[in-house]
Amino acid sequence: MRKLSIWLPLLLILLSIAFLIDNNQVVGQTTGSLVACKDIAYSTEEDFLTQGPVPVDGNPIISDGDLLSGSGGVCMRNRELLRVWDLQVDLGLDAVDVLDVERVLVAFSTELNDPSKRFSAGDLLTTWGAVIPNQVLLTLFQVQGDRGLDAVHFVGTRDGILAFNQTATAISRDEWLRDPGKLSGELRRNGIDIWFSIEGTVLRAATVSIYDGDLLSAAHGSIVLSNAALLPNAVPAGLPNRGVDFGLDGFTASRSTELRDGRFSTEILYRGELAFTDGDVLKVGDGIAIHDEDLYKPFEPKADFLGTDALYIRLDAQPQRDKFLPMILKRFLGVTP
Amino acid sequence: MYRLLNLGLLFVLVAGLLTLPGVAYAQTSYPLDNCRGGAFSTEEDFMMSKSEPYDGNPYISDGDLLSPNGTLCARNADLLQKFNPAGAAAADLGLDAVDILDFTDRLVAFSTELDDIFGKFTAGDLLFTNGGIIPNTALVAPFGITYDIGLDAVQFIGTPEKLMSFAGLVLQIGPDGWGQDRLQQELKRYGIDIWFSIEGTHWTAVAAPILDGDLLAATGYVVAHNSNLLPNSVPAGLPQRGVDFGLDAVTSVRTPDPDSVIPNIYYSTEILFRGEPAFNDGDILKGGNGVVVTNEDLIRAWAPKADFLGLDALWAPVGPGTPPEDPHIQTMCGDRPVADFDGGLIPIGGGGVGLYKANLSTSPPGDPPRRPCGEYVPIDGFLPDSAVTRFRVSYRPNGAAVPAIGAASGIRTNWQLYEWHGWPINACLPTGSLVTDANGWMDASDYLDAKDGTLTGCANSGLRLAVWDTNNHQAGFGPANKDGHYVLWLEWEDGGGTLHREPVEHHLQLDNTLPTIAAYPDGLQVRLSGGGGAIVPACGEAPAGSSTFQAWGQFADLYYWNFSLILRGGAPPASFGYGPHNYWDLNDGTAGVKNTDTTGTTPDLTTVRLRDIHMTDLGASFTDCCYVLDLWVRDAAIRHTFNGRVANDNSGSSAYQANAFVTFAAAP
Repeated sequence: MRKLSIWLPLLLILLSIAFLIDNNQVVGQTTGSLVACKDIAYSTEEDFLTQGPVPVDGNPIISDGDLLSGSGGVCMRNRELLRVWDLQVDLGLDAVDVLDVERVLVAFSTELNDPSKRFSAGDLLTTWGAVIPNQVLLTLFQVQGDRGLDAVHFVGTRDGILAFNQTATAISRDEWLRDPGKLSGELRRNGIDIWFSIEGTVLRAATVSIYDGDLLSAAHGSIVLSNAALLPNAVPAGLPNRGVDFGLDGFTASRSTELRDGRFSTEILYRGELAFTDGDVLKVGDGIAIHDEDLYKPFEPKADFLGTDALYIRLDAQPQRDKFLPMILKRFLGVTP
Repeated sequence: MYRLLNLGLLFVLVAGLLTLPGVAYAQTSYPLDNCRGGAFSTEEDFMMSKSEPYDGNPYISDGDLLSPNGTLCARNADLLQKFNPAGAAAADLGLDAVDILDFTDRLVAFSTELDDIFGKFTAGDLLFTNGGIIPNTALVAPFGITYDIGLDAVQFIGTPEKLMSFAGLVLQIGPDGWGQDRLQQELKRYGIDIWFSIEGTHWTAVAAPILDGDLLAATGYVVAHNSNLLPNSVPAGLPQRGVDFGLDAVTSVRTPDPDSVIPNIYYSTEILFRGEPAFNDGDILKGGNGVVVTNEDLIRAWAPKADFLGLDALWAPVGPGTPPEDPHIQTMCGDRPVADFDGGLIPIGGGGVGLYKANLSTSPPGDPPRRPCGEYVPIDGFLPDSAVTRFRVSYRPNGAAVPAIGAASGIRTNWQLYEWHGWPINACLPTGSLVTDANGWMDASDYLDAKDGTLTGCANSGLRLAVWDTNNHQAGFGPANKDGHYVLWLEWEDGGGTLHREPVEHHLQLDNTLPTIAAYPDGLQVRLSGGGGAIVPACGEAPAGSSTFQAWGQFADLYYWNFSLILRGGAPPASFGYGPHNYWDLNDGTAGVKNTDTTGTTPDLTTVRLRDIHMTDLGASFTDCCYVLDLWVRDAAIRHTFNGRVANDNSGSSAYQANAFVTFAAAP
């Protein structure tokens, strides 16, 4: 009994530490607002007035360049996403992937080009300051020019993604352009990939035509999911066979290469069987996961449709908070649970 | 006059957009002429499944210029010919905005979705097919915007000659010559302007924001705020109304009347709206009003696998310089424009319910009252002075297959004409006649001559293309179903004996069945206000001192409109009216009481409380006496009388209302 009374406080301390510390994560820089976007983050097609929770900065106007949470909060204003570039104008938010909340690492693209020409609307940016030119993302597809960037999603281990982003931050845009093959090398070296979609169609790509409704791989220069595979068979999606390219405006999935849990939004609505709008969050091959109005509802906007442009949802399993518990119990109490 | 001009412009826009599909043919250069009736681009690529474009490839890109009649006008590469280096493979950069300035010289102003892969221009620059470039920063400079903020829609304002000349100047100046306010100076010098919208929102600390849903003028003013473009019932505009709906495409008259700018703007938004009036981001909307062409109708001739493809760029031959040449129907049910009917102006085979809906921006409630047509239905439109030998208004039941020209039924009309009678009468008398044949065909020259008096010596200005006897007052003149849903169109024969038809159709819902009130005692009841609401039977005597009674009723109509109650009696005799109480009214002044919907009382087949009546409303006439309570129930149908010469709207006539009454005695 005395033994227990000695070890109990220590046990509680250790349990607390186990709860707070994730696997190999080091708690670093944090932002209270971005934490709200750890599970779901998105942007709208248009600006609107929120009647829901008042944003931290007190401004009820929500821009289509702001990063929004599923609970009606503004996680990052557009200027905060672009803080590294010290921009005072709103450039929109076209694609997003929240990579690390604690480290404030967000990958994204804008709707408009940088007024100072440091990046284009098709480039992949991060809040750490990386600029990966659109053309470099498309290197393995042998596509010339900037074709826009509509959706982005990183896959791979957390360590690999962080390591890649540290490297990417140190590489200038011009360096990427001088050595475009470097990207696929860095991605493979870190065991990760960048899945993305473009704004236009390139019928003369390296091996196959690529459409703006396809999900592409930067590491392998391949189509991860065609537009036809993203949508149910009942939808006439995919060119040239099924008839229509519905576009791919946002895509998110787990960090593994598991595609079944993927979520996405399209560029245009569909009114047939399994109808959806371009604001709905859809499940890969399986209809609507989140109705558009449910997504925006926490903001209590004056209209129930605002369009969904950039999309991130945490689809990986929740971190196992009590994973140290068995070790602690066994080590200090001699108990095997 | 202004209303007529607007209607004319609307018809030109819609009819121009919805011309008959032509036959695809190969050309050595792109067939821009295919778009003389209108042009647009979609948000996404698709495969056309009927016919094929001039280059034989059924793949349609969102960068191609399309006509609503299903023919391709230009590939994206055609538009970019002057910008691509010789020998370089053309990249499809999308098509975000368009204005066709001249067909003969193939002069098109446009913008792309993507920046040029060769670095010559950005997606925000305004391009011309002659190779000219106006940088985005030159367009937006007057608004204090110093960076490229995108270009989403464009419309040139000015005479064609000046616009052509200006386009030449743009090429001459080159993309780098627009420093300072050169563009604004040149626009003023030429007496022209460029209306446009941007992709982003520009917020300033000192001035109102410039929204991507605002229509801007390059000379430096806001032509129309997003809140002005959309009806009041739409929460458009920031920061006041709540949402920026964007402005994805726009087209207008080239020389707008300053007093009627917004009604002459046709546009599409970036996002849809589910309220009233609902619209999609691919529909063509009219300034300050609702949808004039749905996306489904716009793309129908392309027969895509999906019925929505979005709308990114739009041009239409709107304006007084492009009058119609072919005969067409303009109004139905009197002088009501076909475009104000649901499905009133749609491509052949298009959908609609055929109900008249009044001005979407002003009519209460948000969902405007819908009205069918009954009795005699006047149908009128445009018939040219020559080139037509005979014409008729044809019809078929909704849902029936589209027949060959000349194979459908035609509306028959018997006209009574005023003829001149000389001495000793010296007057116009209605002694002449002009009749269609059994198939509805009317001799065109006789009709026109009778109308202006050339044939008869007296003008017969009341003539219409047809007056449809929908209730079969004259056997064989009406439709098979007096309450049916029909599709109408105009057919005519030219001087060469060839039959033609309108490239559009007009849905019309008929209603010749009057409202019904349930038989006594269910149809109308007077009940005591207290005491459990006991019914006061006909000729029954209410307890003395009862001054407030409940009126209960039961009635029905497929297109119900309103009910009224009239209390009469007392000494001296007096009357007091209650209502009319329209189906869309929230209540009748007695909160929570009315119990009617679009088909009469609700629940159906149930006698419900309509409202309270107060004997004291009769004033001093409320004495120990007998009283009558009248119930009048009206439906929504628009009905005309027709005497062979003139059709008059008498929709409100009591002859078309159902009536019931109940007697009772009451005393103060």
